Amino acid sequence: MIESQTISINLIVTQREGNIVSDMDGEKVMLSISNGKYYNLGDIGGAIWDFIVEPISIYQLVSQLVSEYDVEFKECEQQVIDFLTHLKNEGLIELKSEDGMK
Amino acid sequence: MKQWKMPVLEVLDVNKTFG
Repeated sequence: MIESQTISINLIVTQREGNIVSDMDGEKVMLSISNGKYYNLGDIGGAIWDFIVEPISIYQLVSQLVSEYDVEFKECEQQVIDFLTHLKNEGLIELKSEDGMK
Repeated sequence: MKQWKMPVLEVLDVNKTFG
């Protein structure tokens, strides 16, 4: 299992199943069936959530965001990793290395 | 280019949010 402290840009990230997601005023709100909690991902977080519907490397994810948003790569990388760390801690995403190890 | 904001995961308190 990959611990949150070791999230790096080369890892592959994807949504975990079992969440009900809805758009509310441009922000994405989610109910986790597994833990019963409600989350607000916000608009940027919602965009990230959409990007990780299929497995994608964090590098590719950040590259996509940098191409669409007015943000520098390193700033985006750090903030995305922080965000993914929170998602990971809540059990909402899966991370694995490029060779498929979870 | 769209405006960037730091992504934040907000855990909602259902009792406060929805009554």
